[in-house]
Amino acid sequence: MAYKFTAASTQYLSCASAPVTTYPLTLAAWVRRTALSGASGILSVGVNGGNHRFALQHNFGGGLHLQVIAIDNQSAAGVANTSGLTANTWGHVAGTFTSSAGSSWKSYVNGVQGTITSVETRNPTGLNFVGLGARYSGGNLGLYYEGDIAEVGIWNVALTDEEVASLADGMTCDKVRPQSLVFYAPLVRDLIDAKGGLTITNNNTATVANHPRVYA
Amino acid sequence: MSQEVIEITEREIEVIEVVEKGPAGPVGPQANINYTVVSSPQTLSNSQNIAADTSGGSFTLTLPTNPSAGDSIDIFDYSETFDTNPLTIARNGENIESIAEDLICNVEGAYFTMIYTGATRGWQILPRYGTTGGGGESVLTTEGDMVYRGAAINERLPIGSAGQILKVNSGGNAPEWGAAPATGVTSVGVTGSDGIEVDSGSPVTGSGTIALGVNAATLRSHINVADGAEVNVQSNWTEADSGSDAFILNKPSTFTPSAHASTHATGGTDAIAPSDIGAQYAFVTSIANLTADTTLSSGRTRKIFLNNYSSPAAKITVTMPTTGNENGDILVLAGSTVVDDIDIKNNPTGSVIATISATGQTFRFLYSGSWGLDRVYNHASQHASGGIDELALAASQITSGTLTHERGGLEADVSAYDGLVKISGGSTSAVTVTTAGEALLDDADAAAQRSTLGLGAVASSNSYTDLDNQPSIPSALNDLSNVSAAAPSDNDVLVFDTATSTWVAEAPAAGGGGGTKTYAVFTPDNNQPPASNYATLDTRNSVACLDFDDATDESAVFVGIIPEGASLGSGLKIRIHWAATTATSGDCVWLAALERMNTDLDSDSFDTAGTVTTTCNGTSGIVAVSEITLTNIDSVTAGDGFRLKITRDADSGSDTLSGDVELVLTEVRSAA
Repeated sequence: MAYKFTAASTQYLSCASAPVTTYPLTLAAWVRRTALSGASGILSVGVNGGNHRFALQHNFGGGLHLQVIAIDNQSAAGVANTSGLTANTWGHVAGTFTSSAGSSWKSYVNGVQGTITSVETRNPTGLNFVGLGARYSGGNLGLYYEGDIAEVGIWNVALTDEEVASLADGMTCDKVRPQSLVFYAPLVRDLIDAKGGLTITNNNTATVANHPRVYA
Repeated sequence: MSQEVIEITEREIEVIEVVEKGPAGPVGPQANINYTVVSSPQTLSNSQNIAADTSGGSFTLTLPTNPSAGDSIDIFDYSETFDTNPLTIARNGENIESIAEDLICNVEGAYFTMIYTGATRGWQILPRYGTTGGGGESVLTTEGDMVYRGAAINERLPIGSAGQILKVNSGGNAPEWGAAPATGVTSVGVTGSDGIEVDSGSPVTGSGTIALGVNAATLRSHINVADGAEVNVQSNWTEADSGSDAFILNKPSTFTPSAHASTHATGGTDAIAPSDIGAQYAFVTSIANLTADTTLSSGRTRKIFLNNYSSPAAKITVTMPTTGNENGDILVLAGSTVVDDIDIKNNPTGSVIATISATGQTFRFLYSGSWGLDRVYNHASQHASGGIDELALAASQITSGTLTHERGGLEADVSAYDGLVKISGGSTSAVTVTTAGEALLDDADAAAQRSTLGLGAVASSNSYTDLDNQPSIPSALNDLSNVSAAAPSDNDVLVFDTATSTWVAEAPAAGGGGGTKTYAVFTPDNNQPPASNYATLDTRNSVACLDFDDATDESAVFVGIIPEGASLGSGLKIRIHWAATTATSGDCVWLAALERMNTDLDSDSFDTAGTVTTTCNGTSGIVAVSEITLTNIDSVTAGDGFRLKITRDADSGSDTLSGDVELVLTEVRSAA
């Protein structure tokens, strides 16, 4: 069972520490957006009360189905997909960060790499927070998610295109380069980090929903 | 007029004929005296003579008022009815016989005079009856007093003490009171002059002693005990003093049992056998010199001498007695210089106990229900083959010496041998010990024996894991054609067929022995979900499960291989273990379809699905098992890959269960 978030209720899941704090890394999750509108945070590794972060987020208002960004003291920089998701339909999203050079960053929707690239350089530091369904920006927690999220994984490597494609095909995170998986929350009803053991907190009672199609 | 004793009680005074010293007088009313007949109450006067007539009923006569000493009044029972209608004499203030009570006269024919003697005693009563003379008569003064006739006059016997009995005094002329005997004598009749004798008709009963004041001699004569008799005298056989109480007269000096010999004889009432008294060799009769056929009579023991007997013209028969024998009887045929042809027969019909045909022999026959040869002296020849008593002794009966017997005989003393002794040289030995057998028998232990038998290391180690030097299997065991009617195939195993009680070869069954077999088990994480309408992964109490929607048909797909040896002739059984998410009632419809994975993977080709409808458990978390017998198995065979699709037919009208159902386990098993 996935988890359902209601933005108006500011529901989100969080961890009080970061499983990865620097490059390289990969962020991935299954998402089912109620409506392809607005902006909302999907998954972020950031600073509690801060601004530095790596994040996956929607920005449908900007035409971006997926934004994969890195933020330090400078403005956000990132890569993005402009299509791929369907309302009320599960879709897979992922972002890989090889180094601080934005040119090494990639975004994927359902295994398809996005076309928007980056030439910026960013070095987020002091990371100590994981947010699912929300993110810290400028010290404020916001961009609450409206929809369902499941099968959240964080690697300390930049997965390859094929590996991301496997994830998009339904392979669970623990089947893709499991030795580099540092955080895995299947979100099958139980709030468990099956890989890193981080404690996942359900803020404002996010509820459960049907799980996406995965090969468990 | 009768003379009655009238008692004076404290409350009533009756006329008493009291014997009192006083002048004698006539009996009855006096003649020439005028009596006044009265029949009604009145007061009397001094010197009146009253004839009281109470025939018409009792009445009262009152004594004079203020009498003077010496005043007297005569009164008698005119109609002799005082007993039925008593006359009352009222005392009128004076005592009567010292008692302040009226006098009631209730004696028939009473006649008396009342004389006033003063205030103390008042009116005294003088009974008027005649005496034969003599002195005056005594007065009864105490309750219980009695009158008896004395020597001249009636005398008074005062009442005795409590418990005393009335008896005759020692003078035998008057009654007196005496002590009662210590124990009861129920009836005693007094007779004779010797004291009290118990009447035969009134025997003394009970126990205890009777103290009799009688003459001892008289008492002894009564009980027939001689003078000087003693009790508890014990006789003594050895007492020699004839004057002693213990002396026994006429003791016999000897005892001759009367005719007891016959009682102890054979057939007697107390017959004694020779063995009873240890008799063995007391000879009773004997025949000094046997020369002709002889039939012996019964007897305890006898000895027949065969001395100087030689060469009879014909065989002599000695017939043993058949009657009168007793256990222990002995017959001895004593040794002789020449003995020839003598038969010892048991009875005239000819059964032979022994035939004696050798010289210098002595034989003893013992009777123990029948005659048998007990002992033979100089018996070597008798026990030889053909002898009169050829021996067949058990080994335990041989205590010393050696036996040289044809069968089993030993050549020498074997007591020193500790083991088996080889018998050789015999011509008719029942057991032949071969050289190989000897070698095996004299091996020190099992290992040596195995070596002798040529067994290899496998046997010597007692371990089946030691396969070195395993013996080759005889070729016959490689041929199973005689075990099974069908020729076995590669990898067949032997299976015992209870129907035919034979071993048959067949391909090994998947999963082992008989009965249904499980071919595959799938858990939720084995799900390879279809591209759409897939059952979604969930957990329940951390148990992984697949959720199936209650409105849209959703499926789970599992992939496996039909195991080798699978029995598919009857299809397959698909067992679905599931639980309702929340419902506690309703039916769930399941479908199961099989696809043999020998077609293009790019498209599904499931065979016709089997279906089952199952009611959920009354508790939502309790697993129910639905079983589908799948006969359409897309022709899968052992070793084929297969896909099994499990679908909840949620849109079926028969599916009435509300909410999701959760698939926990799926099993594929043989249908038979």
